[in-house]
Formats: sequence, C-alpha cells, structure tokens
Amino acid sequence: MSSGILGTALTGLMAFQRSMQTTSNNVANVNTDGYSRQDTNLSTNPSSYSAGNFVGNGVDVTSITRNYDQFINSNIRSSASSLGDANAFQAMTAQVDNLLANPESGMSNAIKSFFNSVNGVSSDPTSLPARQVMVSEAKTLSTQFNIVSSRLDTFRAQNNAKMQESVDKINSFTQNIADLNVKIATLTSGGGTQAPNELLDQRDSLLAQLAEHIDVATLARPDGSIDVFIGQGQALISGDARSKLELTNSTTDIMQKTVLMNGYDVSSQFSSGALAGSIKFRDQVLDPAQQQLGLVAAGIGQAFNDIHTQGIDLNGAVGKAMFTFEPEQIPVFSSIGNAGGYIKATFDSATLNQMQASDYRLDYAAGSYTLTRLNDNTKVMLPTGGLPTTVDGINITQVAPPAGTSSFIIRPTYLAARNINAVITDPRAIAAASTSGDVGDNTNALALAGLENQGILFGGNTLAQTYQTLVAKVGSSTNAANVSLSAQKALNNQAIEARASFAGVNLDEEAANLIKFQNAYQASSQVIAISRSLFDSLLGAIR
Amino acid sequence: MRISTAYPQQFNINSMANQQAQLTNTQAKISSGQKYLTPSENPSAAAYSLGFKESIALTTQYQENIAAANQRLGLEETALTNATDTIQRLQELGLQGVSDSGNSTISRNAIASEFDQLSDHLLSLANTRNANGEYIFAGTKSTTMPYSKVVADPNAPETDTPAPSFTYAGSFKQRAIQVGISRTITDGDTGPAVFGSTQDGTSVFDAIKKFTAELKADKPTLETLKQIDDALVRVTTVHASIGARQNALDRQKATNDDFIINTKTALSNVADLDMADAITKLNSQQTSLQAAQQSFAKVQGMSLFKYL
Repeated sequence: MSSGILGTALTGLMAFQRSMQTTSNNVANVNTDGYSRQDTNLSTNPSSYSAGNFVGNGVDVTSITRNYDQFINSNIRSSASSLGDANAFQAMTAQVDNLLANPESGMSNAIKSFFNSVNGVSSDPTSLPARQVMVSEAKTLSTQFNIVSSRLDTFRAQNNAKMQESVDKINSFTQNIADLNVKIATLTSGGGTQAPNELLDQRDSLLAQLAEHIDVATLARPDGSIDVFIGQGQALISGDARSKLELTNSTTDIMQKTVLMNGYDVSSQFSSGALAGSIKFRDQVLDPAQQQLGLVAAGIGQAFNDIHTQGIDLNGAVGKAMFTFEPEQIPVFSSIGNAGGYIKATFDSATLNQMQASDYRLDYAAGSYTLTRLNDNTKVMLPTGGLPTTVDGINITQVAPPAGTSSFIIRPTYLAARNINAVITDPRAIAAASTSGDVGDNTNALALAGLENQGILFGGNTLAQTYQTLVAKVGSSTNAANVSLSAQKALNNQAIEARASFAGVNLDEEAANLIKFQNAYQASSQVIAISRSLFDSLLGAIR
Repeated sequence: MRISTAYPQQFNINSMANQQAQLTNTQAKISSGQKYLTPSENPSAAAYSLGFKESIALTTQYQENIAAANQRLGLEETALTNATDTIQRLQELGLQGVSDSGNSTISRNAIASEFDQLSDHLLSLANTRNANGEYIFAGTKSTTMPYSKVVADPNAPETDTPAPSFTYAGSFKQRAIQVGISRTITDGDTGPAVFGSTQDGTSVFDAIKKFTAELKADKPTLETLKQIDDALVRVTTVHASIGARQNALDRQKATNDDFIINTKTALSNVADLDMADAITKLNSQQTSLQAAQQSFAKVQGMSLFKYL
C-alpha cells in the first residue's frame, strides 16, 4: 500500500515537473514571433482493482499541444497577402504621385513657362531676347519631358527589382516549406500522435511570410505535410516538391517582366500579395502615366511643328520643325521570331485629336494585317486594302512585307516623352510671321500661343488639361491605395491580434500556472515524505 | 478575453508611431502653408489648383501684353498729336497762301519753303521708331523704314516741277496682340491708314507736295488745300480709335485683374491651409501622443512575476 502511495506521488511529481517545463518554455518564448503557446495535457492513469475497489494510480502526461486554430492562421495568411499587395502598390504609386504633382519636378511649370515665352514672342516678334527666351524654354520643356520620363523609367526599374525580390523570396520560402514538410512527415509518422510543435510553428510563419508575396491556398495531408496552391490550383508546393518561379523579359520590351512557373506565364494567376501589387502598379499606374505623359509630349511636339512649319522666320525662310522625336517619330518594335518585314508609323496632324495614350499591336498572318489597341484590347478596323492606313491619329505604312506570321508593337505615346527634343537653337529661326514674312508680323506666333487654350488632344482636352487629368488619375490611385493600405493594415492587425489572443503567451497567466504547478509539485513531494514516515512508523512498531 | 503579453506592446508601439506620423504630417503642412502635401490627399483639388495656376500665369502674361500694347499706343498717340499740330499749321499757312491774293510771289515762296520743312517733319513723324528700334507706322515690316522721299535725279533734264515723290515700303498688315483668352487688339496702325496712300498719290505728303508746287507757281488752289484737310480728318480719326483701343485695354486689364484675384482666391480656398484649424489639430495630436506614451510606460510595469 505504501508503495502505491509512493508510486502515485511520483507520477504527480513527473507530471507537474513536465507542466512547469512547458510553462517555462512558454515564458521563454513570450517574445518569439510565430510561437504558439503550449499546454501540457494530463489524464488519470487507469486505476487498479483491489479488494472490491478501483484504486487510482496517479496522473500521466498524454501530450504537449500547441494552441492552433486553422481559421485564424488562414486569416493571417490572406490578410498578409492583401497587405503585401497594398504595401507594394502604395509605395510605388505615392512616388509617381509626388513626381507628377510637384510643380518643380512635374511638367506643369515647364508647359506654362514655355507658352509664356511664346506669348512674349507674339507680343514682340522682332525682339531677339524674347526669341532667345522662347528657344531656351523650348529646350527646358523637352528636357523636362525627358527627365520626368527617365524618373518613370527609374520607378519601372525599382518595380522590376521588387518583383525580382518577391520571386527570390517566394522561391526561398517554398524551398524551406518543402524541407519542413519532409521533416514533419518523418517525425509525425515515426512518433505517432505527438506533433513537432516548433516545426509546425515555423512552417506556419513561413507560410504567412510567403503569403505576403503571393496569395496561396493550403491543403493538409494526413502525414502532416501541407500542399500549397496559387491561382486556380496550380501547385506551388506538393509534399516535398516545389515549383520554382522565374522572372523573364517580355518578347518586345526588356523592361516588361513576366512571371513564369514551370515555363508557363502565371502573371495573371495571383490576385494579391506583393508580386500582384507590383504588377498592378505597372499595369494600372506606371504604364498609363507614361502613355499619358507621352501623349502630352507628342501633342505639343506635333501641333507646334505643324503651325511652326507654316510660318516664316526672321531670315525669310520657311519655319523648320521645333521639336523632333529621336530616333524616330513613332517607334515600331518587331517581336522576337518575326519573319522580317518593316513597318513605319508617323503622327497624323489632321487627326491628332484622336490619338490615344496606348500601344498598338499589328499582327500579320496569311497576307493580311490586324490591328489591336492595347489599352482596351480592342480590334481597330483596317481598310480593305490593309496598309497604309491612318487610325487614331497615326499613319501606318508597310515599307517591306513580312515573309510569314509576324507581330509588331507600335508605340506612339509610350516613348514620346523620352524621345522629344527641341532642335531649334537660333532665335532668328522662330517662325513668328505668316507667309508675308514681315519681320514684325506675329500672326504665326499668335497661332502658336493659341495652342495653349485649344482642345487639340483626345477628348477635346488642352495640353494642360491632359496633363492635369494624368495628375488627377495618379492622385486618385494613390488616394485609393492609401485608404486600402490602412484598411489592410487594420485587417492584418486584427488577424494578428486574434492569433495573439488565442496562441500568444500571457506572462500573468504563466505566473499563475507556475504557482499552481509548484503547489501541486510540493503537495506530491509532501505525499512522498508522508509515505516515508508511514513506512518508518511501521518499522518502529516491530523494532 | 485573454491577451498575449507581447502583442499589446507591439500594438502600442505601432499606434504611437502612427500618431507621430500624423503629427509630422500636420507639422509639415503648417510649415509649408499647404492644405495638401500630395495630390493623393485630394486628387480633384490638385487638378483644380493646377488649372487655377495655369489660368493665373496665362492671364498675367496677358497683362504684360496689355502693358506692351499700351506703351506702343501711347507712343503712337504722341506722334499723332504732333502730326495733328503740324497739319493744322499747314492748313493755317495754306489758307494764308490761298486767300492772300495780293501777296507777292516772294511771300508765297516763303510759305512754300515752310511747307517743305513741315513736310520733312511729318515724314520724320511717319518714320517714328519705338524703344526696340521698330518703325511704328511700318505695319508688320517693322524693321523697314516705311516712308522715303525720292528726290529726282539732279542730272536729269530739268522739268517744271522737280519735286520729290514719296514711297511707302512698310506692310499693310498690322499685328494684333492677345490681351484676353479670346480678345486681340492691334497695337498700332499702318502708315497708309494714318497718312494716306502714296500709291494712289492721295497721301498727305503728295498733297503737301502738290500745294507747294502750286505756291511756287503762284496759283495755290483751295481744291488742293482740301486734300490737306482730308489728311487731318484721317489722322484725327485714327487718333480717336487709339483712344478707344486704350480704353478697351484698360477695361480688359481690369477684367483680367478681377479674374486673377478671383482665381487666386479660389486657389487659396482649394490649396491654402487653415492655420487655426491646423494648429488646433497639432495640439490635440500632441496631447494624444503624450497620453499614449504615459499610459504605455504605466502598463508596461505591470506583471504578476513582480509579486512571486
């Protein structure tokens, strides 16, 4: 009987020691990211039947489990994806916003000063100083277009670097998760019901970090490993195997990146996460901004040249083009794999107001061309004869036909701000006069100055209005991005708070538990002391 | 509800950082005086204020154009006042020459020689240049001297009247200056409009030349003197139109001024910071940041482990 007491007390000592160990582990991990609070689960040992009674046999440690809730964790992942998305989008969009709206770094001051100088020439056409100012302002204007365009290029490079960073991180996370899958599966199948808590915590936090970059769905396997899917169910991780993501250049533009998985383009397969945010920034903010800026540059350059070349300069010569677009007015790119062919495109002055802020794709197959406007993916009707044609303010001509199926990208506006250049340096070469050629004639200069107030661009907008539309568009995108970022932050915080309140360590609670287990441990020790004194008194009775 | 020990600390730090960011933002607005630091804070206001600034700059440029036109019209007015005086003197002398039938050939010759001088003076007025060196009566050919006297070749066989003839080398087009969005005003008048046509021989110079010849021939006619009267009517008509244009410029200037002030007010409403509002906000943000800091310090000190 006394050995029964001793044995039972011993099970208590062991159980409470283990409990205190778990508590001390909880306390030690109070500040560990991703740690889930652990509990020691106790149950009574089976009692033994003795003399008509069931006599208890103490306590047993059945398991040490972590506080884990699948719903809370999937909430953390999905909110991390949305937050990563909003973060990437907002950070880049805000930069464009600051660039365009700042009067110093944007275009509005340069456009204003340029037209002021044209007005100056119109009110004083014989004044060489006024003409010199206009020549300088034209150069400032074209340089400012070049600068803003190159800043946008910098943002593009930054955005590409971010995409590369996301892809690299995704690849490293998926590798680590696949490795953990292997370890967890081995330990789980070897150890039966006992789960490797720390490894599970680690994998959960890796999954959450992965989700920041790409939105994923997970499916648990019976062996404890987990499968991870993107998009419509493409497996990113399947047990111990994972698919690697890759970033490649598009076939027409090396600055345009495509995400590949197993050789297939999956760029459109994810809807949130930092990678999606970067792609969204490129497609919804950066590209349209570059196009719209180019539309203003192309509009100013072409409309100005049209009027300027109708006038007569101070030397009595017909006016030359004030602005050029180098190396060519409208760049046309042949896609990789084209069967030759040479397409040329130029601005059409008469229909300048129909020009849109968009690229075009000209496809050649079986002897005929089809033209697609890429900003809205609309087929543009070509005349029955095919080329040459004039659509949306551009002239397209075929210089040499391709030998087989080919595709060309026509970019009227995308590169216009980068390529515009003011080429007149001689103040006498400004054609302020009409065909009269009189030195004091300002008719042409008045027409040039009048461009500022005319709705010469798409939708009947003036140059300044077209630029303001761009500023307002980027501004509202940034505004929306700010709102969505703070909303996503709040949602993510809620998810983290939910997890913290469920799985996080509370030191007061642990202190209370420690007291509880200590007391129980002391009580069990006391039982051992009592059982010894019982045994002693028995020995004393027979001495 | 159970809470973890680590999370509230992070949460408090985040929220203090947030409050600090808001405080910095308000402070930046106060130091710049702008209601919005980036257009994303209010995209439509940003677009409006760009548009307003554009309009202000353009209208300010029109005001400069008005000042230039005014200055040129002023110069023309001076020249025309002078021309009016000269022609009136011609009329006076001409009447003397015609009416004074008892006058000797000698006194008619004296009048004729004064006529010659006044004609030269009028010619120099017709060739007036402005500060830029432009001829104000040459139309758009403003660097070409408009009027010249062609003296007949002295070696040519002598005729009865070897008098000079006149040519106009300027243009018949006058430049217009933009002074409002859809308003232009001509900043001067061409020589023929003021002095008559040398081509048809109806200019004031031709009339003077003819009358001088008549004086020298001792038979001045009222008919020719009438041509000089016509010339005066032409000059005073143009003079009056200058006054009208100057009035129009003044009105346009006032309109533009009003427009600039109104637009500046609108711009200020859209883009300028309400200081009182911002400072109140700054104070309240400061107070709440301080409160957060103090409560953080207090709560952090609490733990059951202290009592074990």
